[in-house]
Amino acid sequence: MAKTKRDPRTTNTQLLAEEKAMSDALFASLGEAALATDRYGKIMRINEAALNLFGYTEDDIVGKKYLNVVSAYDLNGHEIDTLNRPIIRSLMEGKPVSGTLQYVKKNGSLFPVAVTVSPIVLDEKPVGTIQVIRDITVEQQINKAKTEFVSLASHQLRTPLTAIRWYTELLLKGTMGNLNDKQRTSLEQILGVTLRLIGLVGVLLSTARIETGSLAVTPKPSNICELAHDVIDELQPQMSQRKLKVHEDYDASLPLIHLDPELTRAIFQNLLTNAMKYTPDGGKIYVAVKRERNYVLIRIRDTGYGVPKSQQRHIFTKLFRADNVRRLDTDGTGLGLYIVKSIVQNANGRVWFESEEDKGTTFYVRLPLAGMTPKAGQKLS
Amino acid sequence: MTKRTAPLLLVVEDEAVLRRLLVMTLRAEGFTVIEAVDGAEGITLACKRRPNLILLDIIMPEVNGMEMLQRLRKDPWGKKADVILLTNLGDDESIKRAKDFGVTDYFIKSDWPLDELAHEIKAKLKTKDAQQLEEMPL
Repeated sequence: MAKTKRDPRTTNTQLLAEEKAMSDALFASLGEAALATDRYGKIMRINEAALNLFGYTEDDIVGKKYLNVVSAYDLNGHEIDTLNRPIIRSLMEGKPVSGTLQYVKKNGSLFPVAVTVSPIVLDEKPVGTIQVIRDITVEQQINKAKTEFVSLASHQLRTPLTAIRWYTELLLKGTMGNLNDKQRTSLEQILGVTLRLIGLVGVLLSTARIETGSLAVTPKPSNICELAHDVIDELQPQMSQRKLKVHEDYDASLPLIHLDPELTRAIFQNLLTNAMKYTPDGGKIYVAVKRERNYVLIRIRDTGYGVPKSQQRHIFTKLFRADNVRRLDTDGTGLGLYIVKSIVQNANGRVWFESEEDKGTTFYVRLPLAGMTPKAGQKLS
Repeated sequence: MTKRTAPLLLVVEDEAVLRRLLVMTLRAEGFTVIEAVDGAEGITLACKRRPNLILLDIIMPEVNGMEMLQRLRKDPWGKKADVILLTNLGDDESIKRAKDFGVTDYFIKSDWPLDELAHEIKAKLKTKDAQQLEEMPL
């Protein structure tokens, strides 16, 4: 490696001064708010963006203990324990820690932020931290507006759909005169698609709730095998019509698990409806619910069309539908698996699948026996 | 023998198409039906005619369903009036507020076939009649 030729008059002090000037300029020119502390949490540096964010001057804050000057609250307004503050966790764990929380300005007002605190490590020991702070007030306002918009839009969509539904029902009942066979078939089709649209509005609402993190989780001691069996029972008429056979295999030794019954049913409903939709008439569907150490493993296998290899990595993406089934089925929304994945991930579980085109697909869902954590919010629509 | 009159229903709905459909179907089921286009008209009609049941929408211009409920509960007769919220707003907050106002039920319009809705209303009124008979002193 080529060595830079150094002016012999350059002293170590000058080099250090240059380094400092460079890091000062770097720190000051950062677009995001940033502050640095020593290993004891004393604020050593803070840039202009951070001063503006907090409403402090440099004299107010530099040299003071960070934890004494900046209080932190979670997004629900509860003060965060010192040990759980990102700066402490980063110093203790020796690695970057990110989080979303609320800080307090000099004037006492709270504001939401996304922060990343990275330890400054020298000889494998943390000697300080650098924290980058992003004000997410606007992002949160947009999120709230989005939820309100979806809720209102759903209401506005449901109203004309209700009118179409009710008028079609009246026509089909013969209230407005007798119908010939062609008219009856056409009206039945109108009613069918209207009901599908009404269902879709519900799915869109659920998706919006998942995305804005406002989905409620209400766990109750539940028999997961019974939940699976109930969903299969409800789908039985459609299964029989399509001559699909279902094999059920349940582990009788499974204990009651603290699960939100509605969310768990949504997992089975979506996976079983997919298995049904994407398996040709006369096919088979296998459902197994077994204990696997500290988890419960759900396995749903079908003998259907499968997912093409090239498209498998997109399968949990919102609105994605594989090419081979888009041609076969007009019913899907591309939201079912996205909803399943969101529910399972929120429950600290995992969902994955194996698939071979024209042979079938197996979905696996692993949920902890410890169950789901309760959360306030809106129910799945 | 006293002549038994048909139960009186009040439909408060701003959407003309839905109001017409509801009124038509409920009359066909044998109810006497009066209608209001918003909460302001609804509260006046309710206190004047004292219907056996009020079917109330939520999102309406001027006085909305929740505001009408709030006013109704302050009226000596209205505080015990039977109200079914018939809305397309299905968020938990609205449902909770409605329950706090002591509504008989909360229905999402688009989820109900019209004739089943009419039968459900009939069943609710029958249950209420039976309860009132039981409560009458012998």
